[in-house]
Amino acid sequence: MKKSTLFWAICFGALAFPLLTKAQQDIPDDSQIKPPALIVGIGLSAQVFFPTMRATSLTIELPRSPYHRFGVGFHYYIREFVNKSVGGGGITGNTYEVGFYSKHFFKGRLSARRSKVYWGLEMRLGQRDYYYEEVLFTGSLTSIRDRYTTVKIMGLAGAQFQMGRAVLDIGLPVGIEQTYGDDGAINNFSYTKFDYSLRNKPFLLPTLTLGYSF
Amino acid sequence: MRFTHKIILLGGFFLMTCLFSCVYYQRYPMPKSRLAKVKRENLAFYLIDAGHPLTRAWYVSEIDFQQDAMKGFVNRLSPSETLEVSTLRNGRDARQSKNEVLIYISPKTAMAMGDTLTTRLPFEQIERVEVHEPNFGKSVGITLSWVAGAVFIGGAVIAEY
Repeated sequence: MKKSTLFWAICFGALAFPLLTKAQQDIPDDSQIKPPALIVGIGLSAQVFFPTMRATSLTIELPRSPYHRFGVGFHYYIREFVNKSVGGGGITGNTYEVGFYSKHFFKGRLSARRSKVYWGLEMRLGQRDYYYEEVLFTGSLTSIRDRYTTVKIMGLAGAQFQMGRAVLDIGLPVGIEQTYGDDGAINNFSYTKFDYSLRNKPFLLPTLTLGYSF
Repeated sequence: MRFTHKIILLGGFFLMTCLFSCVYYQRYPMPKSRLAKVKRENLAFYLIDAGHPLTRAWYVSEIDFQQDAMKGFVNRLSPSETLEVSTLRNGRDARQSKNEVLIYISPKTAMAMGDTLTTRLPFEQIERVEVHEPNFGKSVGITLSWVAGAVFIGGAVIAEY
């Protein structure tokens, strides 16, 4: 046997040895794995349908067990500029939401395998500050500013991938939003073509979050 | 009843059917340490020779798990039964096998095992354990695809009328 062949065979054996010994070990039991104490994440989301808005978010997730997590989130909506014309409008930089959520990862009945896929519930309370363009009696185009309290209730479905301490979360919340005026009455009218104030709006909120687990 | 309402009701029924039927099972490894923790009611345990999984298998009854070993009465399966237990044909087969636990033992242990006997098997002699469970990623992904498709088609129909 050539010396070089022997050298490579020894190198390969040395590299493969840990894998061979690992094969004899039992696979980890997900129910016994200690979850991280805290996961902090920053994310981007886009509200689809009635109205369409983009948001950045900061979330703090507290794993209660390998399968259940509870979290709080602050969501800041990015201000929008829409053409200055009748029916135009947009949200200002004073639109935000604060909420809490729970995530429940699917679990294997016998193996207790924790799936990357989860379901959950989320509730948010926030403020929507927006303006819309109207032609007043004077005939001039005027920007009217208004503010409403928003309540969102969502069902969550998503997947969370963990690579070391890094966490990637892809979520697809689906829910209903209700807006309330300053006097507490449910706002029942649509002022603009962007439907910033239409009641009981269904929406999708695709979310991408990058996090770090401690 | 308006046409759109009929469409929504039909779509809802279709979605519910999808949500309940789109659960895809497949075979997954299970930690050996879980054996002592699972509830044994309604479960069927099989010992399979890891070296000859298609020809040598045993059904285990009166099974009992201890800290580091399992005890039970083993009964050798016929070749056709062995093939039925070891082979996974498709997702439906996996779903029907959801209450089966396949315990693969080392060929050396299997060689020493008779056709019918009461035995005590240390966990070191078990190579791996496999069970049939839902693939949640596939199940949820396909269900969401169905929902998105139905919403898209329903929206298009409603917008048309």
